[in-house]
Amino acid sequence: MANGEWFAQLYQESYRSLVLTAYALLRDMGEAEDVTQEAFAVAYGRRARVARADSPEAWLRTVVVNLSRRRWRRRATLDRIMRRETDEPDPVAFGEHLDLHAAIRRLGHEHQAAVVLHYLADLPVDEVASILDVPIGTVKSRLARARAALAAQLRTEEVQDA
Amino acid sequence: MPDTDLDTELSRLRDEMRDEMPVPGFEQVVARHKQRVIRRRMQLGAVAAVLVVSAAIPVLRAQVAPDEKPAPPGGPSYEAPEQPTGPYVSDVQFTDADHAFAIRAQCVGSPATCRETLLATDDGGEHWQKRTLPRPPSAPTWSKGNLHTLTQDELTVDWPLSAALEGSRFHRIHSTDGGRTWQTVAVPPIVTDTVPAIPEHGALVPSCARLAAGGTRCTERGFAVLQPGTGESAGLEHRPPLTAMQAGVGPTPDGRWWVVGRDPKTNRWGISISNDDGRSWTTTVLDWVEPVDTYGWSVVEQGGTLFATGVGALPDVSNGLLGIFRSTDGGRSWEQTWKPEEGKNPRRVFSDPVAASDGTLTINTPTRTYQSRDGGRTFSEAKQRYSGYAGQAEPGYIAGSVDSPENLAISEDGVHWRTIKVG
Repeated sequence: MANGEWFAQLYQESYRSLVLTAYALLRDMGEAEDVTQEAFAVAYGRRARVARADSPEAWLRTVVVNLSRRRWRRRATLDRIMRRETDEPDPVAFGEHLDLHAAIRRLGHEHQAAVVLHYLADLPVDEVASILDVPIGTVKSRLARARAALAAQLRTEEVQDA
Repeated sequence: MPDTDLDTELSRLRDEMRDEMPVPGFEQVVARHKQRVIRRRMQLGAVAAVLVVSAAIPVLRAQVAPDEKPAPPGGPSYEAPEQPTGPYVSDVQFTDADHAFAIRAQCVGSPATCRETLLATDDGGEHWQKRTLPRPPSAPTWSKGNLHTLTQDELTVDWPLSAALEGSRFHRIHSTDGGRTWQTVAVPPIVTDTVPAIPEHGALVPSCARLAAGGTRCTERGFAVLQPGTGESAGLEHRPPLTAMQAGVGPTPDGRWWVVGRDPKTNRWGISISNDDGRSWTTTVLDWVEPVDTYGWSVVEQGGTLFATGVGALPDVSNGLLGIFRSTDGGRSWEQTWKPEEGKNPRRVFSDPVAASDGTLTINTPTRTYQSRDGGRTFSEAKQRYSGYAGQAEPGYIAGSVDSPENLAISEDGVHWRTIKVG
């Protein structure tokens, strides 16, 4: 494969999953897209090193997670300094599954991050644990509780719609 | 809701989110990378000044690693803060030997928060006066203003509003009284007004040539004419027949304007030169297969000879020097005089090369300076005359000073340099 082509292919194949990883941590799709673009720009400058990595996507995911954490900390600090309430960004509408998406957004931050990383970004539990820096058991427990909460919320909405 | 239904719904939501999520063009990644490199180049220019002073100590100099040292292997880690902690000159432009404006910036923290001061001189840099510079609240904290000096009283400053492809969105202010009062100028994402030629005191600035569907992302870089009087941008009626264009801000000392871009038929790089202020262009497609993607170009001129250098990320070094091309017939034909080879220096390039009146071509790298006396065919290590960053502009060349990041080195001929303190 010509020099650089593999990187473009990596970009096409992993961009969406990485955006969802950032989204799990930032809860803002616009910021998640921006952070992912930045991560690819960083990686592009070091693509020789990325190419040598066992898993280029895992390399990128680490950069996305680091950048997201920084972005999150900066936002939290600014919020504190400005003494402002943290407004949840408007949810991005995703077709027919608005209810489920809205329900996920109503979960607590920890539960929401676990659900997005595992079910939407499609990451295995051990990787979710590594990203969230918690034991695997904690992730499993958060996922179980989140699922119960989601099921309950959706049941309530079904009853109200009936 | 049963577990299996929830699993199905989650899978569908996942598929839907992925399907509906737009993937910006890959060129945006390359452009963003380039923007990072340019930012770092400016920042490293200041840092290099300090390094050069240290390198004057012979013991230390003997231990300076060569430029070609490959990046150390290691796992992924986001890089250390890139900004110098002290103030430094982030931008300066002269309109003649006496008049100039400069922006002195200081960026602290990570992510960086930058503060900027606008300074003006009317005695060649002997004395500087502070002027106002109203930073727009919408500018990200890390962004620094790009200065465009049109006349001794007229200037604009552009702040990028996102790290996306340059030129796509920025906030511009314009002053006609030397930076005492300012007006905001609306700049559309795509410039549609045109002018027949680049007016006197005009400049070429980055602009977006093509927007993605939805209109929020730029997918192809281009350039626009910055018009004196209004500070507005306009397109040229007759543009070079190239895509993904990068233009020189001002003309070369012989009054030639340059644009580098890709030939739409072959996707090879082409260089367009205008001798009549952009009314017509002579375009030559280079007979060159780039070793890696070229993300930056510079064209300089000395005594009627043009030199074009292409920069890209070589596998072992960033800011790799990919090729030097020389034209002795005003840009009608170009000869490649240099290509990268293992063990051949310079392997990197820091900014514009300096084509001097004594016939030398100098290339600065982060740690060493190389000079060619045969038109860019061979280089030998030379004494450093200036710090990392150098650019060809009125009154000749402006570079970082080896004395301090707050100082500048300027030269009319590329041979004799003098240092001025900014601020």
